[in-house]
Amino acid sequence: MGSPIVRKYGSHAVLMEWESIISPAIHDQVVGTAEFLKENHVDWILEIVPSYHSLVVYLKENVDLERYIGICQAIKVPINSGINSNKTWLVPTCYDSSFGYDLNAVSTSSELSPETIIKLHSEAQYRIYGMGFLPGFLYLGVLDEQIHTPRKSVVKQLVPKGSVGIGGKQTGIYPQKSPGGWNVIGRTPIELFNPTLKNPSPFSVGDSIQFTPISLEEYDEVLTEVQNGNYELKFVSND
Amino acid sequence: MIEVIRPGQYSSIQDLGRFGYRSMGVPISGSMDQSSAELANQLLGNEANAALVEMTYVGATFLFQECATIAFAGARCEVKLNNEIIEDRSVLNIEVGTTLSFGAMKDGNFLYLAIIGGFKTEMVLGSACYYEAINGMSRMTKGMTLFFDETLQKQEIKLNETRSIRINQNQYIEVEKGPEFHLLTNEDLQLLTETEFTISPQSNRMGFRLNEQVEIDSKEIISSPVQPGTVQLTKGGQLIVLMRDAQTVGGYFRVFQLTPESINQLAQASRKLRIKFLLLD
Repeated sequence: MGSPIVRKYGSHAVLMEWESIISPAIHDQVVGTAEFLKENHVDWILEIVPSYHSLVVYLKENVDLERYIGICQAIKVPINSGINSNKTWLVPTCYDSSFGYDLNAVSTSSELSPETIIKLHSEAQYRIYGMGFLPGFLYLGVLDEQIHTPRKSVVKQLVPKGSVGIGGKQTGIYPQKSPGGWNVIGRTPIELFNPTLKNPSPFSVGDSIQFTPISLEEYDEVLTEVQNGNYELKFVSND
Repeated sequence: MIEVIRPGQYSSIQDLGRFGYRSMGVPISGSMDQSSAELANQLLGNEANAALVEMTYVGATFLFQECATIAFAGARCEVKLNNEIIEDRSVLNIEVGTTLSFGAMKDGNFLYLAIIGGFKTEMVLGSACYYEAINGMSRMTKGMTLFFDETLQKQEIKLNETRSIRINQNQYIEVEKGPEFHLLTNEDLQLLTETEFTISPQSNRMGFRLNEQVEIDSKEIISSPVQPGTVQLTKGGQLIVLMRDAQTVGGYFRVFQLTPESINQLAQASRKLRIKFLLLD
């Protein structure tokens, strides 16, 4: 795996870019490098945004950009991948048709029963490749090909918060209520992003998630715990 | 406190921005024209990061229920104190019960109203900036109340201070190469630097769309980080200049990056202005 290309990106930022493919091995490099920079360049860095095959380091005002690019170019990769996450967060998700109002549409387009769709969707683990689009929105690893479903031609004005959807090859969770064109197949009662917390998102880029099917009754129970602030998201370690 | 009698077209509270949460998808936000916002705060001796009001295209009307010392800077418009037009002054002592109103912007798009000590609003994730998903606020509404520290008002400041920056309606917007610049051909570059662009009405704090399309064969890229000032080229040949509320990750070619000063300049650019990108080397 080659070294990343290091480029100036505006007057106060540096882009590090690996080979242009979506793969866990490349992403391990991105996440490992981001962690390394955060630990070692704390005095220079404002923040780092990692994504699928690249990261951007936003620098503090007083940092000499050309010098910093030189420092980044000299970093030896591969960065120790041992620090990468092996956490898979279990996201309770209710696939009841009252929440998953497009489950039937996905069933028609995939020619699979709703039960099979739920099984395929909830058995996979999805790596978190990045966060963006909306605060707390997770860019997740690819979905089983059998349930790829094109986005809806008409954008729904209000997709409820916590809705779990399929848009093309991707699956994702709406962290807030928002307009959206994805096919909604379920809903999670958990908070994807809580701005009143010091750490607003429970997830880190490089972790994985898995959707855990729950009943309507369990949905209500978890929602109550979330609202009372005593719900703790569970995870498994993939060792 | 101050009552918002008319909110204007789009008014919000801003500061220098919300930093540290971009990796979670939180936009940095902040004043669209930071040099004007900084000037408004400077006139009162405020910190650069003091929260102020940003008004867009059509100004707001405020009723002061306490006396205050305010300053304004940025776009030009008619300013009235109890229906009396104020000219050549940008720092004012305001008495209790006075109405301050700002008209339609005549030169520039964004006007900043600062108050001594800054507006006191809830700080969420280190910033006062309005952003719906963060603090539930997107814009000011009629009848809402703005708070400030009344004990700091009516200080000895130069009331006849008129220093203001001229809105720069220069057609040249200085840019640097963006991350996908190297994928452009010489013909593409020629198109991008020779075409005169105008700003679409479909523009907001997230991004300014440009009306004129270019015939350039661009592809979608794997979603990658973007920042305010990034010029995106869509598959259809449309250009979008990302502004302060921009998303943190995007999937289009990032052809140029505006300089920090040219972001301010573009924010204030007239929709009639024919813009050209000037590539710095």
